[in-house]
Amino acid sequence: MSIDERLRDGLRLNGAAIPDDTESALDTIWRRRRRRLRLRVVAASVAVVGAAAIAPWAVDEFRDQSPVIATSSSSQLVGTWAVDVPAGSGEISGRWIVRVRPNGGLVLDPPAGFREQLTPGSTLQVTGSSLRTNALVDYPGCQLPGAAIGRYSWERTGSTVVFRVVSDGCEARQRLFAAPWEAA
Amino acid sequence: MRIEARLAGLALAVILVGISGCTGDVPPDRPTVGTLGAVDCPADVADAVVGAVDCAWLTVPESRARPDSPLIQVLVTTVRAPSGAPDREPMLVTGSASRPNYAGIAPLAQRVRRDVIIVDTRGTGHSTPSLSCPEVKATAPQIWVTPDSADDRLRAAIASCHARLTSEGIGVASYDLVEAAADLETLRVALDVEMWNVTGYGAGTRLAFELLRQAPDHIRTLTADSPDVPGTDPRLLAGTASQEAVQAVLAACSRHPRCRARYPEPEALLDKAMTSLRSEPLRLSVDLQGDRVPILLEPGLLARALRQMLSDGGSSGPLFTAGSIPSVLAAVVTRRKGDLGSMFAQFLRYEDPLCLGYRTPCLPAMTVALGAELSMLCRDIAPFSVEPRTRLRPGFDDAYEDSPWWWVCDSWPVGPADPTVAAPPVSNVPTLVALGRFPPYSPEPAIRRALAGLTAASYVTDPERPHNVLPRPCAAGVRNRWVDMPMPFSDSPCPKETPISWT
Repeated sequence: MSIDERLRDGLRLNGAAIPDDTESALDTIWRRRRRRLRLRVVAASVAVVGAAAIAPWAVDEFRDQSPVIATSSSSQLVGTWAVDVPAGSGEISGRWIVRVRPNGGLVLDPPAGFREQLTPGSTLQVTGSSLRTNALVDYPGCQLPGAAIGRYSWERTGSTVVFRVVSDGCEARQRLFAAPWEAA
Repeated sequence: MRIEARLAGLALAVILVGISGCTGDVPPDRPTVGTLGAVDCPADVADAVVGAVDCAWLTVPESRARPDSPLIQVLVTTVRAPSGAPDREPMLVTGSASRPNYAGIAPLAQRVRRDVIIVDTRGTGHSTPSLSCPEVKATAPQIWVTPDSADDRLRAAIASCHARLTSEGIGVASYDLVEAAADLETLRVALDVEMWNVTGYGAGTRLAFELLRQAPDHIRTLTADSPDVPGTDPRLLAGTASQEAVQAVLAACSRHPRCRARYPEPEALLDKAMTSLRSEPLRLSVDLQGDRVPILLEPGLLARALRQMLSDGGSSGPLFTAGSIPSVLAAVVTRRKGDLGSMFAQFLRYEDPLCLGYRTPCLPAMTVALGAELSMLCRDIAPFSVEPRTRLRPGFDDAYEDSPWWWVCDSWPVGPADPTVAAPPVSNVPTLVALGRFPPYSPEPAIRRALAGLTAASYVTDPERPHNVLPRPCAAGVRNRWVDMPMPFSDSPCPKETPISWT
């Protein structure tokens, strides 16, 4: 048998495998789809009613468990920033690369001349145009009274964020936040 | 049950308490043993933590041996992992007699990606009642001015504190390690935590080891940073460890070209400084909270300051680091009173006369409840201290052979605890011991001897910092990985040493 004949025989057999009642099968599929849609509408209604019933608790829980940086305005801080601390600030001087993560995590990459070792694990907490941070809390002197947490206001213009100190007894952190942060 | 769910329950409890009009920073009126009552975190806790934090009062009996025992309250603070920590066993931070350093501890939640539970040990911090002794604090700064009368003043103040607390109905003997560890186990049950990771630092590790003795089946891992361990007496280790650590710092200076150029013969500095002060103490004018106070710099006070420099980790400023030791000794040798006045204003700025060189650090945020500290010392350590005192070098002998800590228990009668509390720990729970390079509190040979019964112990040594090394990058990195996968290792994964920032 030639190759052409074998192909024709095969195609004939495949065609025979297609069910005759295609129309009734399509009806079945449409019925299933309509049933699923009805179920989804019912489930959504139940969910809306349930959510309304537990809204106060749920909102509180969500607020507690949501990332530290949650609002659209504060998400403007999320990303990678280059911070040039001017000369005259000792080992703090130089270019820092600061990464702000969506969960508020802060990763600091110090300049080459920075001798103090940095342990990762600092955080930003943003509320509107204010923020609190424990960046550099392990730096010498930054656990003295009033130094462990820094409070700043912030404003982003284009690709630049500028901070203003509200209160911060940690001199090293103050210098890091005194310089503008440029999107990197 | 996952800890998130339990904490959600706590949040719900806060709402319910709020509805009933009972919210606030006070214990509930009629608590029962083993219950947790959610409260707003005290202001200093909320201010020190960035991110989500919950607080609750745990109610426990003052004495579990007495059926009619009064109930006391222990503050429990939970710092949430920033991205949540489903199904990850939480970290429990065991404390000592000082208020927990919330600001320093809180980043742990992000570092290990687990919820961190901080407990104000009974009688300390925010827990009620407080066993603090303002009577003793009030002896400063007079003690620095006339050190000859220091012992008499301290004796009277300590006895007065004991009498006051006892007259208030407080059973001071119940504020010991056994009861404090039992509080932690009560907390674990209240939280419905099956397994947790226990971590302690310095004196706080004694409580971790006592919990290991009482409830080992619920401890997944134990981390001990610069530990103070059962079977050792910190008063005995203080002098020998400190003088060896200072001498090791000076040897490191002599190996460093820049340090050696600035301080010729650095290894001789310690003896020269002590000899100078012994022949003629220095009268310094020191600014203490705005008042000019004339203090007497004697060899013993210098030895205490040197130990503080090795144990503070820079928390109180750059002076409090190993790299500053040659400069302080050189200032004494050349008798630069102006420089020394500025330095000792930093050493003595905190009121507590029993802190400098005896505790770490002396930050106000870590205020010690002296009564709780004395109950633990006088019940759990001192009665079982049998080793003879060692002869120490000049200065260290004044500070540590004649330390007030040797006689404080005469003024703090609490009786001895069961001797098992002082037995070296024996366990196969995975344990990570973190030590420093110039340890003034926890010398490695003594710690290894005391912890020989921990069959799954691994050791990490920080290449730079002498004490409280787990905030350091290398040791912290090792800890973070090890807590997730607590496999033993034989050699410290950190480099042996890193350059010191000499000042």
